[in-house]
Amino acid sequence: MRQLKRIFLASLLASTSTLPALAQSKAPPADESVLGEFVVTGVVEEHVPKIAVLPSLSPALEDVIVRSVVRRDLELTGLFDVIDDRKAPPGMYGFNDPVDIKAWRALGAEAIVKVAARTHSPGKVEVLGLAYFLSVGQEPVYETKLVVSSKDVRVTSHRITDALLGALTGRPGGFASRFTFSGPWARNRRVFVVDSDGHGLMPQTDPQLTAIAPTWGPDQQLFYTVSTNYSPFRLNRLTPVAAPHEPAGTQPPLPVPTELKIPFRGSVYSVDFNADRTRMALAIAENGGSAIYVGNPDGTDLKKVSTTELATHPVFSPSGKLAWIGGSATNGSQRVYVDGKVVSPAGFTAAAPTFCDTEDGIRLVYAVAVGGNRQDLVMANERGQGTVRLTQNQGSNSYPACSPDGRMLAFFSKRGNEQGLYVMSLKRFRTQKVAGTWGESLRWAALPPEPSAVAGAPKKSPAAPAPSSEAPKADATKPADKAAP
Amino acid sequence: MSAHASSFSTREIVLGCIAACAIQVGFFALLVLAGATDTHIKPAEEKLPEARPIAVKPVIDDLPLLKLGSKQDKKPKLPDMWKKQAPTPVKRYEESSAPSPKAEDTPAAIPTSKLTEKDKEPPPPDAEVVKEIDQQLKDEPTTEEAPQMQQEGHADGSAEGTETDPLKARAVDLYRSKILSWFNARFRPPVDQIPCEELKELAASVNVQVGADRTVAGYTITRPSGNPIFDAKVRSTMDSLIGQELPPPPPLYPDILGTFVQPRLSGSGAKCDN
Repeated sequence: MRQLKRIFLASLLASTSTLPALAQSKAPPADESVLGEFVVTGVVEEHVPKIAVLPSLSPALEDVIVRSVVRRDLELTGLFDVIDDRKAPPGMYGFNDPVDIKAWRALGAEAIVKVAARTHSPGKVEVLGLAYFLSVGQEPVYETKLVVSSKDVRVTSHRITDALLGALTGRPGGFASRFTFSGPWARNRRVFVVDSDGHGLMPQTDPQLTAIAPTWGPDQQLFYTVSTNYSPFRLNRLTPVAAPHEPAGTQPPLPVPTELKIPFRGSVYSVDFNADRTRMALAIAENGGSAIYVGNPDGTDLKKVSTTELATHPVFSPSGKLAWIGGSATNGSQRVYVDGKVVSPAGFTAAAPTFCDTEDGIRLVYAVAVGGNRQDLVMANERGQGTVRLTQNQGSNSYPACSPDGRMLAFFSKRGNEQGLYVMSLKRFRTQKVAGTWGESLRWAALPPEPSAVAGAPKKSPAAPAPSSEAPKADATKPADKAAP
Repeated sequence: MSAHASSFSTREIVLGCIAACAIQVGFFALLVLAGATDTHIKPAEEKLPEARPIAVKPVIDDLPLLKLGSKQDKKPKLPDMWKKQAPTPVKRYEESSAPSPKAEDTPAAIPTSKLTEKDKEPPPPDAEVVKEIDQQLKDEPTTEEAPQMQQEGHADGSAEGTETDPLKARAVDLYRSKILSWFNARFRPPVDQIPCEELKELAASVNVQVGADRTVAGYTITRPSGNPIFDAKVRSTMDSLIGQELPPPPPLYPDILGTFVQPRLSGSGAKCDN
C-alpha cells in the first residue's frame, strides 16, 4: 500500500498537468490580464514574401509525395504567402523543364521553389530541390539533389524543405525531426516516438512497465524513467526503433533498454540535456519532495541546484539556462524557475516549461492553469519577461515543445471531443493537428543526418557555422551538404 | 370472492381524467406559445482593437547590400539595358535578274532590272529588295562587344552594394526588415502632443550602439528633429531600449549584425484622431 502511494505521488509529480487541477480547486480564480495580451496578427506589418512552389504534372508517386510534403511544410511555417496552384501559368513542369521566370514574376512571386522526384534505379529515388530568386534571373540560386531509398522519400522531402528554408531565409528548417512523449497504455504508460508530420508512431517501451518523461540524449538515444511493479522510477536509455514503412508491415522488436546508474535511491521523475548534450539535469525524489541535480550525462558529478521544496521538469535553454517547475507541497502553487529565479506570474499554477530558439531570440513557453480544469500556453523571453498568450478559448493545451528551428510549437490539446498533437506556427500563430495521439512530456528533436543519401553539390551553399557538438540542431542545418560525397 | 367497493366514484374518475387531459393540453399549449415568440438575444459585438501602425525608417549602413555588377575600370557606365542603342541600319538588296530555264518566252516577261553578276549569292528569302540602293552596307562584324557587367553582380543590386551572394543578400534584407519591425513595435510618436500635420514632418536619426551580446548598449541622436517634444519622445524611447536584445541574425549568417544600427524615427506614419 505504501509503495502504491509512492507511485501515485510520483506520477502526480511527473505528470504536472495534474498539479494545476489540484491547485485550481483550492485557490480562487486569479486575474488573467497578467498573462499578457492575446497575440492578434490582423494587421500584417512585416513583409510576407510571395513564393511559388511549381506544380507537378508527373503521375509518379514519389514526385507527388515530395511536392505535397514540401508545399505543406512551407505553408506551415507561416513565413511565406505561397501562390495558389490554380494560378500557375500554363507550361511544362517536368523534372528537367526550365522555369518560366517571366510568367511567375507577373504573378508577384519573389522566389520560386521547384521540387521533383523520379526513379533513379530499382529501390532508389532521385529528389531535386531548386530555389530561384526572380531578382537574380533564370539561374537557380540554390540547388540540391539527393538519391535516397524509395522508402525514405517522405523524410527526404522534409530534408529538402529544411535546406530550401536555409537558402530562402538563412535559417534552415526543422521538419526533418521527430517527437517523443509518454502516453497511456491500458493501466500503464509507454514511451512513443513519432515523426514531426504525425507519421510513424511507434511505442518504444514494454507495455508491462510504467515509462514516463522521455527526452533525447547523447547519440540520439532516448532517456526516460521507468517503474516496474511499483518500484521507484529508474533512469533508463535506449536507441529508438522506427516504425515499419508500410502500415501492414511487420512491427520491429522493441529496443532493449539499459539502466543508467546514478548515486540516488529515490525515484527519478524527469531528465533533460543541454544543447550539446554535455550536461544532464535530473529531478529526483528526496525528503518527501524533489530536487534538481545537474551533472555529467553518465550520471556522475551530480550537484543540487534547486532550492524549492518541490522541483521537477528540468529543461535547459539553448544558451545553457536551466528552468524547472518549483513550489512547495503546502501552498500547492507551482511556478517556473529559471536559474533559481521565479519567472511565472503568481497565482497561476505553471507546468511543462520549454525553450524555443526563435527568429526573435530565445523564448520560454509554458502551460498555466486558467480555470475550468483547462491549461493555456504562454510565451515570455528567456528571463520570463514580456509574457504573451499563445492559446485562449481553444480547449486545454499542455506540454509544449519547440521545433529544432524554433519556428513551430507542438503541444497536446483537448478541444471538445477532439484531442491530439497540434503544431502552431510561431510566426502566424496558425494551428494544425498532426496526430490524434494524446500524451505528456512532449519533446521535439532533429533527426540524425541521412548517412546513405548521395547528394549533388548545391549550386550555392549557405556556409553554416561549424557545429560545436552533436546537437540535433546542427544535424538539421545542412542535410544535403553533410551527405555530399 | 367478494367484489371490492371502489375508492372513487365513476364521476370522480371521469373528472380526474378530464383534469389530467386539460393539464396536458395546457402544457402543450404553453410549449407552442413559448416557441412562437419572436424574442431573441442579440450577441453583443466586441469592439475590435484599433490598429495604429507606425512607420520607422532605420538606415542600417553597416549591413552588406547585394552588389550591383559593373565594369572593372573606374569609369562609370550605364548597364547595357539602359544604354541608348544606335539605330540599326537595314540591309537592302538591289533588284537584279538572272537567267532561268523556267522564264516565259514572251517580250513582256523580259525583266527590266539589270542582269545579276556571275557567282553572286542570292539574297535571303526575307530580304528587303529595292530597285536601287544608295549605300552598300558592309556585313556586321561577328565579334560581339563584351557586356558591361563583367564584374560579379546582379541587375537588381544596389550601386553601393558589396555582397555578391544572392542568398546572403536576401538573408540580410529579411534581417533588416526584422530590425525595422523591432523598432516599429517600440516607438510611438507623440500624437496627442504635437499637431498632426507638424508631427508627420518630423524625424530624428539615431545611431544605436549594439553590444557583443546583441543588446542595445547606447545611442546618440545624430540628427534631431528640432521639435523638443518629438526629440524628448525619441530620447525616452531609446532610453527604454537600452539593455534590450535585438533579434538574432540568421544562423547561417551570424556576422551580418554590426556594432551599430542607424534607425530614423519618423512621425510620418502617425495616425492622428482628427
